[in-house]
Amino acid sequence: METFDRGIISKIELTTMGGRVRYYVILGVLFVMALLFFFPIYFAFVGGMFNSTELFKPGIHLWPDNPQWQNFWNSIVKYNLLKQFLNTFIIVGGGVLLQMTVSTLAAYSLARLKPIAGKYIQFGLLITLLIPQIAYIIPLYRTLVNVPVLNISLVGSYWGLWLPYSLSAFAILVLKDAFQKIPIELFDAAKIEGASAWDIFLKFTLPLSRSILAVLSILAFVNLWKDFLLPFLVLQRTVDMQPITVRLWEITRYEPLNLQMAASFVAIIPPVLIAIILQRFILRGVSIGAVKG
Amino acid sequence: MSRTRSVSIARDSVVPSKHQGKTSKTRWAEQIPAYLFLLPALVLFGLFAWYPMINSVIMSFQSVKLNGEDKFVGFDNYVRMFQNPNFGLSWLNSLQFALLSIVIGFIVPIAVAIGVNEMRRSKGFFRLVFFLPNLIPVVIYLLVWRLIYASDGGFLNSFLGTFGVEPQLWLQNPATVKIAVVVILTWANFGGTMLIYLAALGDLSPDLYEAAEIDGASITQRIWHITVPYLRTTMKLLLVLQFLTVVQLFTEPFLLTSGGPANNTLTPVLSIYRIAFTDNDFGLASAWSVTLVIFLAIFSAIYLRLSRSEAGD
Repeated sequence: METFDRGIISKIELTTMGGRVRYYVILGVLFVMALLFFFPIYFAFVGGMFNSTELFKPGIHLWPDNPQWQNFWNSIVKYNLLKQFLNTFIIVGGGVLLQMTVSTLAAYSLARLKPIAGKYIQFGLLITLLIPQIAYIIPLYRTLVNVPVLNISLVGSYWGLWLPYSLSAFAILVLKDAFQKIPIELFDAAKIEGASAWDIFLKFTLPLSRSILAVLSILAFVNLWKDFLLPFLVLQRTVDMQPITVRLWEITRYEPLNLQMAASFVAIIPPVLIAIILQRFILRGVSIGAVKG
Repeated sequence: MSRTRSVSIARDSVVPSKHQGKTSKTRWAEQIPAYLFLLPALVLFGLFAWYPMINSVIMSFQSVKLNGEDKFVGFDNYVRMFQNPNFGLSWLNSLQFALLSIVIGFIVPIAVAIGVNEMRRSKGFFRLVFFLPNLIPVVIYLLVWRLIYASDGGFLNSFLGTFGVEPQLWLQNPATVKIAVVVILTWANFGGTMLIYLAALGDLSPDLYEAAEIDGASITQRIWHITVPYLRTTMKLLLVLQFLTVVQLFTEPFLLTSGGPANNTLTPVLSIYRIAFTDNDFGLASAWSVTLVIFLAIFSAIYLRLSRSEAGD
C-alpha cells in the first residue's frame, strides 16, 4: 500500500529547489489542518484538566496552570461511566454478533443454495439500503412497542436494539460476493463427500471468509457504537440500561463544564484506541463501503 | 435379462434428469436448506424493515395514536402537512444546510486527499488524524463542540477575543447557527470522505503523471488534467452522498440547538420526531416520513446508478 514511486510530483522534481519547497508547503498546510481537526479532541483533554475558574478566564489557554488529573477519574466515578461503557459493549457486541450470524446465513443461501425468488429477496434487501432507517423510525418504534404476531414489547429491553441491529443488507450483499468468490469446485467436492449444506457453511465457507468477516464486524461495531436515536427511543425509560452515547448527554447537562469535558474525553478514548489498533480493517471497510454504498 | 434392462433404464432416466436441471421434486428438497438459511434474515427484515416501511405509507393515511385505534382519514395528513408552515421551513433549512455543507465541506477533502496522497512518509499519520472524528459518537463530540461555541467561556470567543472580536452567540444567532452546525458536520464526516478519495487516488497509475511530466506539464496542469478528471465519478458519488447525509440531519439540531433559534435549525427529521413523540400525531409524522422517503429514494437511486457505472469502469 505504501510502496509508491511517485505521485504528482516526481522523485527528480523533489531533488530540485522548487519541488522541495512545494512539497514542504503542502506538508505544512496539511499539518496545520491536522492540528485543527485534532483540536476538539485535545480541547476535551485539557478542558477536562482545568479547574472551574480557569475555564472562564479570558484569553487562550492551551495548557492548565494547575492540571487537575483527578478530574478524569472523578468523572468516571461520579457519572458511573464504567457501567455505561459496559452497557454500550453489551448492546454493540450483541448487535454485531447477531448481525454477522444472520448475514452470513442469508448470504450463504443467496450465494450457493439458489433459493427460488432469490432475486426478489435481494431486491428487498437493496430497498433497505436505499431507504435509511430514520425514514421509517416511527413505525419501527411502534413495531418495537408491540411486535406483531408475538404481541410483546421490546422497548426497555436490549432485544429492542439487538434485533433491529441484526439487519444489514450491506453485510449480506458484501458477504454474498465474498462467498461466490470461493471456488465452486470446493463446494462440489464437499457435496460429493456427502457434506450437508450446514457442514459446508460451518467448516469451510466461514473459515475461508475470516478477513471479510473481521472487516464487516468492525464496521458494524463502529456504526452501532455511534447510533443515537434508536437507543435513545428504546431505552428512554430504563436509564440504567442506556449506552454511554445516550446517557452522557443527560447526565452531564447541568454539571460543571470541566467535568463534562473530562467525561467526554474518557468516552473518546475507546473509539480512538480502536481506530489506532484496527486501522487496516477500518480502511478496508471504508473502501468497500464507498463502492457498495 | 428383463431385470438388468429395467435397471439400465432406471439409470438412464436418473442420469439425464440430474442434468436437465431437476425434476420439481428434487428442486423443492433443495429449497428447504436454502430457506432455512434465509429464515432469520427474512423474519427480521420482515418485522423490522419491510413491515415498518409499508406501515409508514399506511399510517400516513390514518389517524394514529400510539395505543389507540387507527382510523382511515384519506389525504387529511398530507393536507395538514402542506398547510403547516414548518414543512416548507424545515425543507428550506435542509436545503441551506446542504448547500452550506457543499460550499464548506465538498472541495476541501478532495484537496486534502490529493495532498496526503503526495506525502512520502506521513500518509498513515494524516489518514489517522483526519479519520479520528468519524469514530466519535455524535453525543460526545457535541458536548465538546458546545463548549467550543459557548458564548461565555467558549474557546472560539476566547480565541477571537485576543484579536479584539466581540464575543458572539454562535448557536443563538440565526446568522451564524447554520454555519456553526455545518462546521461540526464537516469535521465529523471529513475523514471518511477523504479516505474514499485516497482509495480512488491509490488506483491512479503513476505512469500518467510520468508521461505528462515528460510532455512538460506543470504540477498544476497535472492535477487539473489528470487527477481531477480521474476523481470525477467519485466526486459525483460523494456529492450525492453528502446531500443524502445532510437531509437526514437530526442529532445536532436535536441536542445542540433544539431546532432554534426561531426554528432556524429545524430539519425534516427533527420535525418528524417532534410531531410523533411530542404531539403524538403518528399519522402526520408518517406523511412527513413518506415525503422524506420519496426524496431520499430519488437521490439514492441516482447514487446507486453512479456507483454502478463506476464499478463498471
